[in-house]
Amino acid sequence: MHIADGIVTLPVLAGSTTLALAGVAIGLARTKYEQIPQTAVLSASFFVASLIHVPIGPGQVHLVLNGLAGLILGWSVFPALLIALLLQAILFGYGGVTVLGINTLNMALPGVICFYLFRAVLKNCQTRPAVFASGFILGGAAIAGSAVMIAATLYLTNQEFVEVAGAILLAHIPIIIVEGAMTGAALVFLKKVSPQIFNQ
Amino acid sequence: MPNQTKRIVLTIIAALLLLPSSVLAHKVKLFAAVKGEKIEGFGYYPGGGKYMSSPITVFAPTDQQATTIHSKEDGSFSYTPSKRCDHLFVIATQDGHRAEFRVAAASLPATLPAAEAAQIASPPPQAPQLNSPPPAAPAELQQMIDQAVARHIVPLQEDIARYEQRVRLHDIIGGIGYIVGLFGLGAFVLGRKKQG
Repeated sequence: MHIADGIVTLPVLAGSTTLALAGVAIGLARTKYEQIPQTAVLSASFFVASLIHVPIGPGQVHLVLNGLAGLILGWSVFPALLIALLLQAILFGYGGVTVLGINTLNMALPGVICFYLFRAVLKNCQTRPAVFASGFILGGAAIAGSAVMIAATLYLTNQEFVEVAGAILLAHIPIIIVEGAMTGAALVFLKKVSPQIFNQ
Repeated sequence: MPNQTKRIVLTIIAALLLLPSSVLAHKVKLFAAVKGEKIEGFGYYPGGGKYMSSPITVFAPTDQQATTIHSKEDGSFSYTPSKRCDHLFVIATQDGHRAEFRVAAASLPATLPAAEAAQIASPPPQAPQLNSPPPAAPAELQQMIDQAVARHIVPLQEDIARYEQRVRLHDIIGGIGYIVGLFGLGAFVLGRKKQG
């Protein structure tokens, strides 16, 4: 999920960082006082979730939770993920400080898109299977979105990466399923105990 | 609102507890050490997987161009340095991961010709003045000592490299602390704005 320092070219780096900064600025402007605890909790969840790696087949997968975070936070997902990614880079060497903008953009933007696509859907979902199914699609779509963006970043850096871009998409299939199931389950629970989250 | 936040916390803790607790890294790592006259090392994906039959770029400041070598099927590689200077080994995987490892000039055998810049500064190696004559020719002895020391130190260096890449609980807790602190600060600033 993370792109490391020293991989992408300067124009890609500059472009992505500018877009990420714009996202963070919008996110900060839209974060209300009451939303700060939620933002902090989801930032911490993202920070921890992507450190726990589960081996599946030849590779490993980890939760990202960008769909769930995007749905609940909207644009505030940008500052939430920026801080979590910064700490992951400093403390564990995942990604890197110079590529912070790229990684933030690649993970937060699909979350924001999911916010606009699924907010109304989930508000109107009443039955448990419907909520789970929407959550599953939401969680999976957010990961798929991130995978497409990572593939695009690598493609823009070096056009020879086109085969790799395909491989990246394939490699994300298990994560899409795990993340979808986890997001679906989380939303079923949230809808039951705290339905007002979806009405904000 | 606090109630709602509490529920989100509970949901996420429940979700995380469902996962196996094996904390593994998700990146590529590289390790190299001097063994005799060669630099040997290996690339690996922490938590599983070897960096098999893949390119590794070697940068030595005195070389005009970087050299590319390939790892073997077990992820190991071997490089014979021609100059005594810092060597930088770099792996850049196509899926956006990168690792590098620097082998310092000092750890290379003294028998190698020094890098041009260093040649002027450092005098040619001289045998230490001992009261009794050395049991073997200095250069040979030096090499034997280097090899013996390397044999004992390399496993230790590997352990340190492995230890460093482990995700440690106190780092995770520290990270969560930072997040709480930063958002607390944000809440404080916004709260003051709201009041004022």
